Amino acid sequence: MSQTTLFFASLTVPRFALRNLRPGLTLAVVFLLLLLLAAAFPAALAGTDPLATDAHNLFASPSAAHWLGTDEDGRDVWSRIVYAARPSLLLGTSAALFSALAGAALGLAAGLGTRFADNALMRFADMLQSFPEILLVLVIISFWGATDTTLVFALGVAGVPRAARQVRAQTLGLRRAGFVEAALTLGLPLGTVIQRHVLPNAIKPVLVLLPLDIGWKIAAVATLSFLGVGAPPPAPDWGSMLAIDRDYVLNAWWLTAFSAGVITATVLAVNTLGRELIRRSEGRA
Amino acid sequence: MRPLLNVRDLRVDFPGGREQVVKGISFTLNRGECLALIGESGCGKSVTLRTLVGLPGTGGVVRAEALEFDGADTRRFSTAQWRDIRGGRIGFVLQDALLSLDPLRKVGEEIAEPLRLHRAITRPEREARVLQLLRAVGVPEPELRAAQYPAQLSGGLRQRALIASAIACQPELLIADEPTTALDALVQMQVLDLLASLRQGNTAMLIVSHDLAVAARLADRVAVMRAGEIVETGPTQEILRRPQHQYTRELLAAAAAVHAHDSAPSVPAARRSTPVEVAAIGVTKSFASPGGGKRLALAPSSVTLRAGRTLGIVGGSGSGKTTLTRIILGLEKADSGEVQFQGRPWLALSPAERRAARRRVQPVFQDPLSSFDPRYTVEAVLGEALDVAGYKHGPDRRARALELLRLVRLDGSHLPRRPIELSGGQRQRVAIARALAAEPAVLICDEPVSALDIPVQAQILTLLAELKSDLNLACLFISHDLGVIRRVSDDIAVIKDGHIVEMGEASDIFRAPRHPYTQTLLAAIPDVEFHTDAVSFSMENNCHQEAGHGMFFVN
Repeated sequence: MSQTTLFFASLTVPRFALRNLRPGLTLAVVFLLLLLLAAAFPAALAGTDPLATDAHNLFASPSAAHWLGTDEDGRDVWSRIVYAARPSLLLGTSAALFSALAGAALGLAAGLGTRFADNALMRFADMLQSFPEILLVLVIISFWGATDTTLVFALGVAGVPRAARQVRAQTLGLRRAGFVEAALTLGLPLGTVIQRHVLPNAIKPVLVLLPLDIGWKIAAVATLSFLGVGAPPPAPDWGSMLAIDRDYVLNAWWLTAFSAGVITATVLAVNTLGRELIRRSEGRA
Repeated sequence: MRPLLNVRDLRVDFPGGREQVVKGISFTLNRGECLALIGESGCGKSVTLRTLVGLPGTGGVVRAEALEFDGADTRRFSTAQWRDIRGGRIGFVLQDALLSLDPLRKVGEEIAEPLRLHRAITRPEREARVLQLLRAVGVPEPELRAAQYPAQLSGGLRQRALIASAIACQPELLIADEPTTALDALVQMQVLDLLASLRQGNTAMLIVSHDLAVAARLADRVAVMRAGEIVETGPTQEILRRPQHQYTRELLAAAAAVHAHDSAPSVPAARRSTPVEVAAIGVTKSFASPGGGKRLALAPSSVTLRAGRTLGIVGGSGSGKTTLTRIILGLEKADSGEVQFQGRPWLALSPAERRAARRRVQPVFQDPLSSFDPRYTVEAVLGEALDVAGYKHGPDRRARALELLRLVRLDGSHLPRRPIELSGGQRQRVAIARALAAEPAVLICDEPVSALDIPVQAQILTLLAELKSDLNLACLFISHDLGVIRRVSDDIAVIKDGHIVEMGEASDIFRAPRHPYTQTLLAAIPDVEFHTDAVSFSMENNCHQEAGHGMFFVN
């Protein structure tokens, strides 16, 4: 393809995209954009203070004043859901990044290191993986308490073995890849070759799976709050809202419906986007 | 007699992707007959074959005036009918036996599969038949082999096992897609002999190959394909001796160029003792074998590479030739012995000195695509080597990149492209340009043309020969194709099971091979001889035959 045709190809992209518009994907992207907006500027979407209680207006059903109704303390549900977006996304994303980066480092070390180092690292990964992930997270949190840092660490560590395995498998193949050997025969230092050719290619599958992991981690954050080991009340949090709201499901259905709904929708949207990234990375446009 | 296969005006399209892959081809195949489909990669041969067994590929649209197998329109076959035919009445042999055999199943089970599906016989009968088949395709110790996994078999044995599986049900039609391309010369000959012996039955055979020598050996008729069309078809001897179409002539000329051996030695006698660039002295290597213990890959071996000369290394697969090159390139550490670069041992250099000297010995690998970082453009690929050679910045660097591309007959328009967008020949040119960018004294070429079509092979070989003499490079050249080795080499080393059994000047070795293994190898060359004016073709099967008047091949 010459540069001119590349240029024209780029011009035709929007029309092509319109023709292949997939409603599910579009919905996911729109939802995620809204979520990002909520995380960045919650005040722009919700006028009410998420912590303001109103003893005269408990369990109000959805109305013009309170779009999603109010909860057991008379707080505005819409505004609580909006304000909870930031911590959920931040925690989920940081924990997923932690898994990816720490996993990449371990995987690279295992893939490039001696057989002994490889075995030591991979048996360590086996050990971590032999716990159910959520149990591992609970153990770590009960050791150091539930702060944002420990949450990210705990959730991050739980995801390390999987990322490490992926990166290791890639690295083993890349170690003898033609282009790595070509770079070595040019006399480039080993460090440069690893940084330039091995790492970027080895970490690709982990990056492609990152959105799926973020989705999983957001759900995990909600799970932890639901279990009462997440963010302390009264801070708005999807998981803890769901935990409290389920006591009132018979007389105030909207509480459970909306907090559960937003968790489900977020994970769905992130996964939809993640799958699209996987499809594209596999060359299926 | 009704033809077994009747194809008239077959067209295959992939709407939205590659349109018109096959553009209206017609041929028939009678029982007991062998037709060879010859053409370069991408000409539609493989799509044609797949269409014949009802598997044109996802999204493929098949149209034809007639597409009949044994008088029945194959387009009307149901999935169930196809299942009966595939493996039962039509046997299929693919190029890459390792990929075609299930790595998790024993060879015997794999061969028994078509029998299990298509023949109502008992298990003991099946097992007996498997052993009989393995024996028929010349697999030694069939009981042992049947119980092994494909990975435990050599390339030649795997290809035989695959053929055994394809002929298990005595199919009426045997389709072979590049059945010998991945094999070295000796095994290639054995497999061709095997296929030829299968023809004695009533089996019809359809061979696809880019190699005219294969067609000459097996086929009654040849159809030459180009860009989805059959440009010429006729009896094999007719096509080889009196090609009508320009493209057929080009193919024959290219095959002759690749295998040319009557040309004068490329290096005058006076230049025989040029300076030694690289010397490997008594290098050895063993690898741990999977079952424990060690396997000797290379017995103490010594080779010298001299400026302006090419050392060709000949040997079967697994003989240790690649290990030797990897040791010379510093990609593998020798167990003992040393490699000297311009008189100084590698190991005596400090790490920094060694890195600086390393670029002076450059590789050209068999598969150019895998030798480029998939994220890199041609410019980035060359840039990495230019950095090492000291062209760090600015207009100098770009000018040098363009100069290198010119050297390998490419131009600036290739710089922003990714190797995946280039053809096989272009990729190998870029790989050569990268090697040259590092300003090497020595070029190590490991099967550099094996993955390429014959006409492209001829071009790359010519290019390498020119570069060698223009830049006074020392070259080491590995190929399983003796024709190629004969064309490029000044000196030859013959290697077998890790031992260099014979070494000397190319002309001497080809004229009077001393070691029995060399004699067998040379006898296995399927040689195509071709003169552009008076077209003649001969099948030379004897190394003692004087070049230039080989005996005519008579079927």
